[in-house]
Amino acid sequence: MFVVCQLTAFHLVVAVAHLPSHRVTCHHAADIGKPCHLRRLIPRGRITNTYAYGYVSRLLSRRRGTTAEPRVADNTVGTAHGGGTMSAQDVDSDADADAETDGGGQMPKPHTVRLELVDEPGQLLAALQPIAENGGNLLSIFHERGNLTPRGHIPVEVDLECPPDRFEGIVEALREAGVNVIRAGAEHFGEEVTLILVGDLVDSDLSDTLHRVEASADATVKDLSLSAPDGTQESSSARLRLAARAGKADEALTVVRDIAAEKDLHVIEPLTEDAA
Amino acid sequence: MTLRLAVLGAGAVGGSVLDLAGEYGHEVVAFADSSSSVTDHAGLDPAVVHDRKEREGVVGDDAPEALFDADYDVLVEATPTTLGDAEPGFSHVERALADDKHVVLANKGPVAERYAELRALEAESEGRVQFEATVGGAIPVLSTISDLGAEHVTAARGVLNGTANFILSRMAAEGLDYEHVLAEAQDLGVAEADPTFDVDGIDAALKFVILANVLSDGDAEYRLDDADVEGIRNVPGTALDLAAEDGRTVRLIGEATADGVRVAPRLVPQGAALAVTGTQNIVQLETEHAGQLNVSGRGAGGPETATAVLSDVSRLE
Repeated sequence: MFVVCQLTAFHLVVAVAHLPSHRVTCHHAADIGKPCHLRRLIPRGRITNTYAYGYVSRLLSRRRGTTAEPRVADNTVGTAHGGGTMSAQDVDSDADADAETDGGGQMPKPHTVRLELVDEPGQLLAALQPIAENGGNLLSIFHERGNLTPRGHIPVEVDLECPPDRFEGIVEALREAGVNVIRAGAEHFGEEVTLILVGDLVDSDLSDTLHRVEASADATVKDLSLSAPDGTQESSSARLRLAARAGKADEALTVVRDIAAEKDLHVIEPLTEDAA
Repeated sequence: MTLRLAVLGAGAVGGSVLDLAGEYGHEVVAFADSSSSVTDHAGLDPAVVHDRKEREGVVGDDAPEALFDADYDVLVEATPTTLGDAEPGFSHVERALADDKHVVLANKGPVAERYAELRALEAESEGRVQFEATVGGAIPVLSTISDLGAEHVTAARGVLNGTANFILSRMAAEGLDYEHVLAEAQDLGVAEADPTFDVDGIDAALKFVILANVLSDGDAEYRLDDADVEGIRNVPGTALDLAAEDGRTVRLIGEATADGVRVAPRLVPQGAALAVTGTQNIVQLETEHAGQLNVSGRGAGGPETATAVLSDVSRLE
């Protein structure tokens, strides 16, 4: 099972795609706070980027036997608005264009907040609302399922974008709402590395692959884009963006290489950015 | 000074050296293919030699070895590259050096597989060995390294196989799969009927092994077996699509660094210097004091490689 989320400036789309049958289920954004859905996220949570939409689209078009770009909104899709309300809305609408941040002239900057949530329905949604209400754009949510804090809470990392002078207000609003903010703003992972895995990704259990990368490489899978146009019979490709602690990117690559060799997958590694 | 050349190998490179030598102020006095040779101390007429090769399949009446009996200054070794013992190319070089003749190699085998032995033979001879044409065709890679000083170049990386690069860049541009583009490349003459050498990364690896040998400057010797080589057969169109979505592309990149030699498909940013398209080649040198230096151009082809051979000949004057 693969989960693909899209979190653009003011949209939050969560789609759960089940391979190999290519069935796609999109869930209303309001549901994502529910543990039952959180637990379906892989490997410990899911994040994605804007490209995920293309993937969901491809899966949907396959499912419908059409080559036309599908309207994701035909499935129930949620959008999160910066204004603080959450409602179902057609993702194909042009909401991106008219949704502007009110940053008071300061350019929005990415920030990371680390939260601890109680494992109860609606907690994640409750934590996201203060962010949206105070001018923050959600970029990604990383839910570390399986990692419980000593107090039995679930750690969640939220990447958001806002003008620097708004960030403090967001953290304050989160705390006022009773959300336990563990860390705010400090860069957690210093290095990123993008690579592509090629091979029989589905049969070799992509979830397990990602999980092991995160477990043994001290790295986190920041996003995943999967392309499997020929179903599970042919080799497929997955682009992974890993965030590793400063100086640990090579180590993360070595771990990926070892796991790939074991599973008979090929790794297309990046050439170091300064070399290209 | 006009140098007299004995050209061994009548393929695209050897044939082009025969054609172009005059333009560079030199003359070919002996020419041999795998079954025959022809010698004329007044200088061979390229048209006559090509004509006989085409009509009769031979270049002359003599045995190939008779070429070494000619009165020549430089042996141009342009027979096909062989792996392992690099024979018969290596023996050809050995014989010329024993006769105190200079050698210009277009054949990668001797420099990639038996570099230390070759250098030892050269040290005992009055003759010198040049091999610019073995790396990057017309691109002046080795002469650039020589100018910079091998000790001041810390690494070389780049794209040194036009066939693999053509296939990858066509796959990315047209969204076509490997088999389709390979067939197209074969129709265009960009890929051989048996593309193994190119698409499995062996050809690129040989060139980076040669670069590693040059850069190590006698401190270490590399052979093809020392290289970590992966070709492009396992790069599906989906991988190129995913790379493109992220502003990247995939190229068969070779590296000769302090860690050794590696050739593999790698992700590079679109528009990066190393993301050359079509049959273009590029080598990026990492220098100690002068940052990065990129040299690019046509890395293969008869006339292109012959210009590198003839530049080497001119260095021997």
